Amino acid sequence: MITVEHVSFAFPDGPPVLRDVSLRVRDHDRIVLLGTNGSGKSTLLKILNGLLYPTEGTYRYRDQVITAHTLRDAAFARRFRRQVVYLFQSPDAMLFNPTVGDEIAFGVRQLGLADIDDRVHGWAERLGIEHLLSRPPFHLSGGEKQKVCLAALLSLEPSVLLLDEPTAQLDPRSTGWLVDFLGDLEVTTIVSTHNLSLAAELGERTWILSEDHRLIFDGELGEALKDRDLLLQANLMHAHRHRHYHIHDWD
Amino acid sequence: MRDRIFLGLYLLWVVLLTSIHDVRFLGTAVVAVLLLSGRRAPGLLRRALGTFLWFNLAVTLAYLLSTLVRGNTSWSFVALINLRVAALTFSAFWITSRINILSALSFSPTLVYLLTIAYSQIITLRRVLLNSREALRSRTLGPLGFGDLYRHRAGVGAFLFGRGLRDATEITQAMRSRGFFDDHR
Repeated sequence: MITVEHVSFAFPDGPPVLRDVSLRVRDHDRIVLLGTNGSGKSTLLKILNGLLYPTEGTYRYRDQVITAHTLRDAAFARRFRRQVVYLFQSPDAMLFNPTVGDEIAFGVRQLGLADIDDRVHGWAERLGIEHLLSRPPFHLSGGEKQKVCLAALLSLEPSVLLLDEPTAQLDPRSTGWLVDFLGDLEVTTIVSTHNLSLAAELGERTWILSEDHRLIFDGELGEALKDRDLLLQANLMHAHRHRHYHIHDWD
Repeated sequence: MRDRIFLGLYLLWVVLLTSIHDVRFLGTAVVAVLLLSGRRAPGLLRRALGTFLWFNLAVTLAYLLSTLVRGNTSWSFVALINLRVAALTFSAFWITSRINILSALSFSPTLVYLLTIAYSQIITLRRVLLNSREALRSRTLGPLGFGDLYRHRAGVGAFLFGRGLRDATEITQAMRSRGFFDDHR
């Protein structure tokens, strides 16, 4: 489904953000992308969403190389943007419509489908935000905004859902709800986080990015969580002087 | 010291540009700044035009519409305001690319603090702006209508304004908490 081969990325005149990353994703994989702040998690997700393009290497989605050129093909771009959706870390970046209903309908309306209202109400109900449909999204809580964004993305019935630190702005109850909700979805999910205590709830497979922006692990999450040296190398765990080891849990 | 002298000369230059109402002087000033920029001139021109082109066009068109009806259009005035804005913008970009403003203002810790805070806010808000543009691209399946683009820009503008206000309040509180206003009365 997704193939990333020897991908590196750097902004113009900037240091490398990703170095020689190679990955494969199969349909219905549930992947947790781990790494500390600045390791390149968001950049990798943006490359997978076709917002940034590798400076070296190749990204293929269903055998089609994703470049600025291929996304200039309107028909392909429409299909790709419908199938691969991205929940930004800050939901505020995604909200601009006057009401929650309009926000959810934004993508569906572009598809010109006949059942826009049904989809909007259906997803709003599923996410428990039906009572917010006529309200402006800007005044909602962080958790409610997150749900509005998720409804807007899921109403397109995507194949791949990319989520960038989705629990960063959620309280524990909303975090629990999100974990359950994502667990019930029948789509490929790639979730970035630096919260190890939550990782096991979000997927079975993990990619770990090191602080020098390389992929240092691609495999079973359980195996990675048992590898203390690996977690220390990725700065996902730290040691105190009195030789205790702790998992980072900032959320 | 070099940066401070350059900043002083720049401020004097701004006073000249805003007080001399001569199209030939302003035209020469624009050409002079571009020549001074050397190989950076094309980049400077592109950035400066991106900053003032639409604003100047709107102001010029509004002026022409209002005066053409009355028949008292002054073309020299149109040239004057456009050249003045161009000269000021080119000069501002030129000076910021040539000097370290923090070092130029180092004689006043308060000004350095204010500049640092303003700079950090610019970086933060620019990141928000870039993210919101990327989010729109990510959610766009086909060509967007004027209404969608308008709603997006208005929404982002309102958000940035609110965020700026919130951050300003928080920064002020943090500065007060750290005793800044006790030391800089």
